Amino acid sequence: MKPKLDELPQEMLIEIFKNLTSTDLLSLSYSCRKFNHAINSCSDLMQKFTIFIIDSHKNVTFEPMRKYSKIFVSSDNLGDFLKIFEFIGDDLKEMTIRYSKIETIDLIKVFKICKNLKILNFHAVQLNTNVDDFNIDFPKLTLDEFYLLNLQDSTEFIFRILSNSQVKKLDMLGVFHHSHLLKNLLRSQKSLEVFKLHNQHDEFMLFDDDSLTDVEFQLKELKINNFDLYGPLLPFFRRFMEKHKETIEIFETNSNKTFNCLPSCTSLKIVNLPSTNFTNENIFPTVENLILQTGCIENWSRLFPNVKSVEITQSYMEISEALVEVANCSKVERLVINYGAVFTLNLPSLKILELKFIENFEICPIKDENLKILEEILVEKCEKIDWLFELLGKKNLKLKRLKIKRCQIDNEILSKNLGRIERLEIF
Amino acid sequence: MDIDRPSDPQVSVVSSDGTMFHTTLKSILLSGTIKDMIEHIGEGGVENMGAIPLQNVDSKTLEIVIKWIEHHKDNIQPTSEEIKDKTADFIDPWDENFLEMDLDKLYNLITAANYLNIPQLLWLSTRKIAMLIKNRTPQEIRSLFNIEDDWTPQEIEAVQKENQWCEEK
Repeated sequence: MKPKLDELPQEMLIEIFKNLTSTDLLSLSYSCRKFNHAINSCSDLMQKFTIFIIDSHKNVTFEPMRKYSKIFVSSDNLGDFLKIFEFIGDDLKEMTIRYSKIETIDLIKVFKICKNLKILNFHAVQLNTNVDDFNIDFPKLTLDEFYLLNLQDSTEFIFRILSNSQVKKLDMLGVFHHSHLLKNLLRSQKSLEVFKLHNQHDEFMLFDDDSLTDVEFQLKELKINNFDLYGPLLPFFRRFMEKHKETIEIFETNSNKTFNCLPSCTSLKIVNLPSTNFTNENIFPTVENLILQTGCIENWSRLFPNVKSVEITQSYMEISEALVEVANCSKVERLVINYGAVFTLNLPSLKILELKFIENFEICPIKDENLKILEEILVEKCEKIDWLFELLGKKNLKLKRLKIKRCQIDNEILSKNLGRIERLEIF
Repeated sequence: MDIDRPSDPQVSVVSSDGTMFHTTLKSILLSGTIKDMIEHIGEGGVENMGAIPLQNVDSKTLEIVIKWIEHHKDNIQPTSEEIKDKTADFIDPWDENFLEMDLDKLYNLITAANYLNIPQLLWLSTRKIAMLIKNRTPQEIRSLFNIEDDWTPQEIEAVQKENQWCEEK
């Protein structure tokens, strides 16, 4: 008799279904009751579904059997769908609103229903606000992540709603000309851990006094790109960075002036930093982890005498030039390179090497002391990895870990080298 | 007990239908279930312990499992947590070839990999079935996997209505 998939225990069916997309899960739910029940009873599978609030669904009845956690809104008639939120509001964790004109009163109603929201994503949202809306009690949300993109004229009210809530991660792009409001919002955010700001055209208003310096948030990550402070405001920003230096672990900037206000953080990400001549005063001994992305700082190795981990992402100058600088950092133990072409390595202290999306690779020149204590190699989506096994042989290396992800492997060469690898992971 | 000793003693396992198989300790330790059993035996227990009974795995399936663990005995396998990050677009050609088997064998392999707690084998075998489901209509799924359509017309209408909310137009 032909074997039946639906005779497998539900636990096993769920393991199979985890490999599938929401479209395939919908086909399975039509196939038989057991599959539909297995899908509806597993929160990991339910996370693959998103409820779509779009105008064409206006006349479709909705009596949900499932517990949805994600919703997507793209409609100018949010008020017509409030009943949907009453059905699923308690379970909703993530909401995205895109290209929608919304009555403010409806958004407030939605927030009052969806008390457990953790992730909010607003993209080109426009709010129609009446004077009376300001008299309504704003709902309090406790959010893990809030993304704002191109809010145009609605920033003011959204900030007002948010100032009553707490956010851990705030990521903003193109929220123009409302820095005074943003400053007030930030002052209310005692739980803020990650703050990312891109293309804020009047950003200087954020640091025109010390009011942010005194806020007691535990900021761990700060990203301020396309952000240039003019002279008189630099002391405010410098004081802000000094005040929060104990907590800030990652600082990302593409500005020379803000770079000069660098606190004593341990991790630094530099993106698109224009070429700068740093003086001998600009030495950053606390930086141990450095990420460089499409930027250019001449002779940067002398700026970070204690750097232990370097990550070079995308087309950071010429990869070969970057590696000359890395070679000058005598303490580098971990090197990560994302995207690149042919290059050479000369790093005697290197223990961990990670190469991702590399077209070609060459270890040259192989000096005796070079790569002698290498312990871990990770290669992902690299064109050829024959060099890797050649390296193991020539250097007589014994790796503690080799991780190969999405690369073509010659099984014969691999099996010959298994004795040199303590832990092998192939994905 | 140090189960990572360099020597690799022989271990015997017995299937649910009474067939005995011999393999190495290094291979059998890929099974989390058996690893837990061996760790509980204590110092020096491996040499003295008898055959391990596996009452939930029949001999045909156990033979397949042993072939897989012996091939992978030198590779430290990812944990269940690490499996969650796995991308599905690259599979070791040996494993791809190994999984070319009838559906009934594959179902038994899934159940055995789950019982024996071998996360990588469970992932490979469930993924194999998932790839067969991918991009198929409900009718094709029923036909391929011998499934009876047990929905009433009223019920299926309700499911269709709900599913409309999840399909992006």
